[in-house]
Amino acid sequence: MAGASFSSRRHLASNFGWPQSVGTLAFALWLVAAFGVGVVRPGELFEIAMMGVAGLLAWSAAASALQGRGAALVALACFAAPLGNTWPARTWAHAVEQVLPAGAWLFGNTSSLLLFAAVAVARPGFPAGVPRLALSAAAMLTAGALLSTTLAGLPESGLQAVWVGILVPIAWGALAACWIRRAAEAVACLTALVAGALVPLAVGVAAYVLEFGVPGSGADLLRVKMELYRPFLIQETTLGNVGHIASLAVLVLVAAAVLAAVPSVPAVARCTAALSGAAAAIVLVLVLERGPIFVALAGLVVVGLTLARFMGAAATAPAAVAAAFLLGVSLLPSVRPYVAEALPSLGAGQSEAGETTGSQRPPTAKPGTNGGPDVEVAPGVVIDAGDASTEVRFGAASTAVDVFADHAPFGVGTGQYGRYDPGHTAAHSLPLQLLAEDGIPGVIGFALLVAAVVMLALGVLRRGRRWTHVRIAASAAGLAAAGGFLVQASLVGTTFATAGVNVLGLVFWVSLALGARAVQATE
Amino acid sequence: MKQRRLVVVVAIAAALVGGLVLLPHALEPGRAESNGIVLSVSGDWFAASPNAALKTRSRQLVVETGPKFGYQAVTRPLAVFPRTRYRARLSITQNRTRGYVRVMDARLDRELASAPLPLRNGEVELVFDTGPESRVALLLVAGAHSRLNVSEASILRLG
Repeated sequence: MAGASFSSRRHLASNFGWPQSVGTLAFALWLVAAFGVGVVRPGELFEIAMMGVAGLLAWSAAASALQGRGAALVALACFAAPLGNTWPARTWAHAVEQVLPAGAWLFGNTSSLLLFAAVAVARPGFPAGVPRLALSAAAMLTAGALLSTTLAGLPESGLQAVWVGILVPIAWGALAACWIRRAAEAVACLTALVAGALVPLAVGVAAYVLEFGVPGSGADLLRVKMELYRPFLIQETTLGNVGHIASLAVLVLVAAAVLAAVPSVPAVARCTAALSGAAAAIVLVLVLERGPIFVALAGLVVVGLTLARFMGAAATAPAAVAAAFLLGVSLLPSVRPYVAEALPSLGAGQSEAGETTGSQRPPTAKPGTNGGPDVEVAPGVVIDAGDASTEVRFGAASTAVDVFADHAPFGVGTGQYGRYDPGHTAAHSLPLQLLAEDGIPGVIGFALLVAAVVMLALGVLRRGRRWTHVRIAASAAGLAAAGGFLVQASLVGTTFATAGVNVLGLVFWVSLALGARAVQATE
Repeated sequence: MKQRRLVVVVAIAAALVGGLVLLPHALEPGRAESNGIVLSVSGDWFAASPNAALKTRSRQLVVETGPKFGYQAVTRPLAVFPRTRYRARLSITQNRTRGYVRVMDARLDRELASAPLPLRNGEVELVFDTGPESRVALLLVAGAHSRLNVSEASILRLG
């Protein structure tokens, strides 16, 4: 029905306001980069090659639906968002730090550069059609961050945290709301996003297999999991720790499960979504992060039921397959005790594996070392069954409340929490971290965000029967990713940005804007 | 148009295959680490058992060991060149425990070199050949309820 919204690529080239040679130029640049990297840093060639694969998929799947320069820029930003910690982005950030040590935070992040370029090339208007709750949330979060950082004396780290973690992602959300007018464009942008995410996800899988091999059993998965509290190649080449790549995998998986299921979405977009979704599910299983696995399972059930309501049982297939895969691995005899251990303490129970940055304790002992109570998960494989992460996370949450109590009502300043709680370095819950850092305005902003997503989702459920499938796909995929972020933020501590990398914040705000825009959009 | 698409697909496929073949180079040391690594006391060490506690005090790593003899502290995986000789050097002060400094492969499965802890304080030096390993780790093994202070730790490439 809404397949008519997607026209030919030739049509796109004439509509999107740029000459067709943009694609040729992008390919030429990629070719030069691939050749140069292959010679200078051969170990990074796989990542560059994956950018080529993802770029080709995104171009083939999304470009034909975009009308106007603004929509093309939003799609470009969506594609680039998950690439915020790839080798080119890290190299750029490092180069800027050398030249501009004091202001590197303003130019060192690739999403900032794209933002400057976007505003220079196309003129944004007022973001129309975005729910007032989301706009109010953005305003409260911005006000809270600016106020608390000013009261903290405008430290450099605070300015960086406000700019990279709050302002840039919100600005990209606003631009998406300004420039995306049709549901088909929202689907195109979300497809570009899941295509971009294929790069860190595939690199993560490759890095894992390179160092640990292909796991042949649940015991293998668990044995490697016990080692991932130290930074191996998978952490170095993705988002710094396995918790962050797992969080990204959840957002991609739920959105991809929707996009891959809707027949009116172009076939290339569906294949791209299926590929990214598969990579996300594999990453979740490899890093075996329990909190994100639970959130992914819940998200897949929700999107599956939503799609079944509007499109019939067949549309639930991608979500059902992904959920069955995650559930199957979680229920393997050797993995089940480890996963089940987190269930009673889900509120504080994501493993801290990989989140340790130095002197914290490992989640369990290496077989043969001293530790807590031991469980034999396979012959010769003994792990510590004690869930130290629960204790750590409750401790962090309690300290966050104490930090706020000492600095009420405006908090200690964005990005300053680690200075007041060097033991935990983070509150392990975004609402509590916002409370401690940005005070009352920050936590009100978070509550408004939750309310906005819930209201939009209810809107889809109430009015979706009158919509085209493409519009349902765009709204469900965007809101599922945004909702997945908020649930993870509350339960496992996913944040908008860490150490100048704002991949998750960008994905959240852009997904929210695209989902909201699809709810309001024309067909 | 079709021909152009074919060129793009072939180029990307070739890069992908090349990338997979060359991926093991990602484990090699970067330029900054090509001659060796001086370890930071705060970011490069991790507790190797749930009961060991690591702290940083006066630019020293303080390891308070657990209730059993065993692994206490371990470094992040350190990038090295395979089949190359390196020298590891650590300055350690400790209170009367027996134990070892070991050079292991990154996953702590294979020992490359080992030396006993100094009696009270002193330097531990180990020369080792990396063999096929691209990443190694330094491991502190010590007795129960003791304290180790590590003020300096480094690995230097010998050639």
